[in-house]
Amino acid sequence: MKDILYMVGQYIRHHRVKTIILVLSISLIIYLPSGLRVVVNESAESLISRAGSTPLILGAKGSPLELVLNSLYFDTDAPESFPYKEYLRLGESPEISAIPLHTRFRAGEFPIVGTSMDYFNYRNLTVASGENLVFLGDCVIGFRVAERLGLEPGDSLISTPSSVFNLAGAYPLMMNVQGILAPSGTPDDESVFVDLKTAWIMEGLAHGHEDLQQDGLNGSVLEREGDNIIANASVAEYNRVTESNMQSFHFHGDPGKFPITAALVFPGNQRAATLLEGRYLGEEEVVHLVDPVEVMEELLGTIIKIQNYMITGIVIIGLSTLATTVLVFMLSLRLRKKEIETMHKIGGARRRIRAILVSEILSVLLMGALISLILTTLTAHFGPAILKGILLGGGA
Amino acid sequence: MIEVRNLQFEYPGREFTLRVPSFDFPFGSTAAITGPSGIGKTTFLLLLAGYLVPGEGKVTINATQLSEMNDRERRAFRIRHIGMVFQEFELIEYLSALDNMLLPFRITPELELTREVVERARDLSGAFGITGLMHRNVRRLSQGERQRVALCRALLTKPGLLLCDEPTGNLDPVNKERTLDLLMETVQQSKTTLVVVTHDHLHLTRFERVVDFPEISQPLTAHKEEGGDRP
Repeated sequence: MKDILYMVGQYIRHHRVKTIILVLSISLIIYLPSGLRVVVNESAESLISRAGSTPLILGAKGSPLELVLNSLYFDTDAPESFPYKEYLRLGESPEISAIPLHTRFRAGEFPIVGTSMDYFNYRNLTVASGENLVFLGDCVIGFRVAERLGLEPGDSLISTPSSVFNLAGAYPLMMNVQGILAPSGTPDDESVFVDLKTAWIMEGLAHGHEDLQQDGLNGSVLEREGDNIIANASVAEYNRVTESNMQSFHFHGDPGKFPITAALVFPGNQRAATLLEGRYLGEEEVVHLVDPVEVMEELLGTIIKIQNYMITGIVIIGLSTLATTVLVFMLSLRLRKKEIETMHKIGGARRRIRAILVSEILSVLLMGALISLILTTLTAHFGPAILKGILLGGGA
Repeated sequence: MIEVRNLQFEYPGREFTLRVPSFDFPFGSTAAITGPSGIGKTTFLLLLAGYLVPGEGKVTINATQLSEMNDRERRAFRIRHIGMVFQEFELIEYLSALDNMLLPFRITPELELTREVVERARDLSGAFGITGLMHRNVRRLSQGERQRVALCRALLTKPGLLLCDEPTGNLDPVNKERTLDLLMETVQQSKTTLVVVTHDHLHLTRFERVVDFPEISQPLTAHKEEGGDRP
C-alpha cells in the first residue's frame, strides 16, 4: 500500500495543475447541491423555530412578510406603524395578552427595540451584567452589541437619527446602558432594548427641556397663558435622560395615537385566537393579525422552489462536468498507455498496476469529496446567517 | 541456458507469424541479434521475456519453462530474473531518476524495497556516473543520462538475464560508445547474460555471439511497420 500511495503521490505532485482543476470540479459538483440543500434546511429550521415560538403578530395592514420579518428579527425596514390604542384594545379581552414593539430606530448597525418588560420574560432573556430597564432613557443591550461596541453597564449609547434632514424632531438620544443580556443565540443578541416610552422620546413625541418658570429664561418665553408657555428655540432640550432632568420629560398629545410597529399577541386559547382573527377581518380595520409560522412557511416554500430549480440546473451542469471529468480520466489513461505497458513489460503485477491507476482516480475523487465536505460544513455553520442576512436585507 | 524449441507466435488479426525452430544460448554470455527491420527481433525478445506467449513451442530460461506458467507467474519470474532495456528508454516521466530505478520494487509484491536496495541504486548510479542526477526529474535529463537511468533500473534487481532492444539506437556516437562500455563492464562483473537486439554493426565485435535473426527464424509473412521492427 505504501508503494501504491507513493506512486499516486508522485503522479499527483507532478500533475498538480490538472489535479487541482479536477479536484475543484468534483468538489463543486458535490458541494453545490448539497451546500444549497444544507443552507436552505438549516435556514428553514432557524427561521421556523423563531416564528414557531411567536403565536400571532398584530401590525399595520401591508406586507405580512415584512411585518413578520421585522417583528422577529428587527433587522429589516420597519413596517408601517399603527396607533398604540390598537394595542390597548387587545388588552380589553382578559384572555389575550400582548407585547408592544417599536422598531423604527437604530443605534448604528443595531436595531433599537422599544417594548415592555414582558418581552424579556417571554423570550427568556436574562441580564448577565448590570440591571434591567429601570428609568426612561435606559437601554439593555444584547451581548453581541456589547461585544462589538465594547460597552459595559454605565456606558452610554446614542441612537442614530432616522434621517439627517429630519429637523422636526427625532433628535438622537443618548441612552444609558443599564445592562447586558446573556447570549441567547437569537437576533436579541444583536438588539438594543428600551422601554416603549424611550422609543417615543426618539420619535420626538416626548421631550425634556429647561424649566421655563425659571426667571433666567424669561427672554426665551414668547407667550404665557396660564400653564401654557410658548418659548423660542433658545430653550435647551435634553438629549439624555438623567436623574436631575428626568422630571422635565413629558409627552405631548394623546398616547393612544402614538406609533408602534407591531404587537406580539398571545391568545389564551384557540377560541380567543379565532375571535381575534375575526375581529381584524373588517375592511375598516387599520391593522391585521398574521400567523408568523404561516408566513414563514410561505416564504420557505418559495425558497425551496427556487432551490429545486437551482438544483436541477446544478445537476445538469454537474452531469456535463462529470462527463468532462470522466473524459479527462480516459484521455489521461490513453496518454499513459505506454507508461502502463512499460510497467507490464518489466513484470509489474497486474493487480498492483491497476491499484495504482485506480488509487489515482480515487484520490482525486476523495480530495474533491473532502473539500466539498469541508465547504458543506462551513456552509451549514455560516450559510443560514448569510441567507438570513440576504432575506432580511442587511447583516444577520 | 536459454532454450527455444519449435516456437511459433502470431499477433491476433495480423498477417505475421514468427517461427523459431531452435535457439540455444548459454547463460553468462553476451549475444547480439541483428537482422532487417520488421522481421520479429523485438517480438522474439518479448517472447524470451515471457511478455508475449507463444502459440506453440516452448521457451525455457535457466530450466524454467515460461510457456507453462500462468500470467502472474511469468510476471513474477520476469521482474525477479529478467532486466529489460528499451530503445525509447521508457522511463516514467513524473518520477525522478532514483524513483525510476526503484520502479520495479514498487509495482510488484515480489520485490521488497529495502534500504539496501536504495543503497545499491546509489552505487549503480555512481558506477554509471549519474549520482548527482538521482533526484532530478527524468524529463530534465539528456538522452545519454536517461539511457543510463534505464540501464540502472534494469540491473537493480540483479537479473540473471538482461534483454536490450536497441539500447543505443537513440544515442550519439560518444554516448553510444560510453553506454556499451558500461553495459559490457557491468554484465561481465555480475556474470549477467546479455541479449541485445541491434542494428549497429560497428559494435558487434564486442559480443561473444552474433545471431543473424533470419538464420534462426522462419517468418511466414513479414509485416513491416514504420519506425521499428515490432510487427
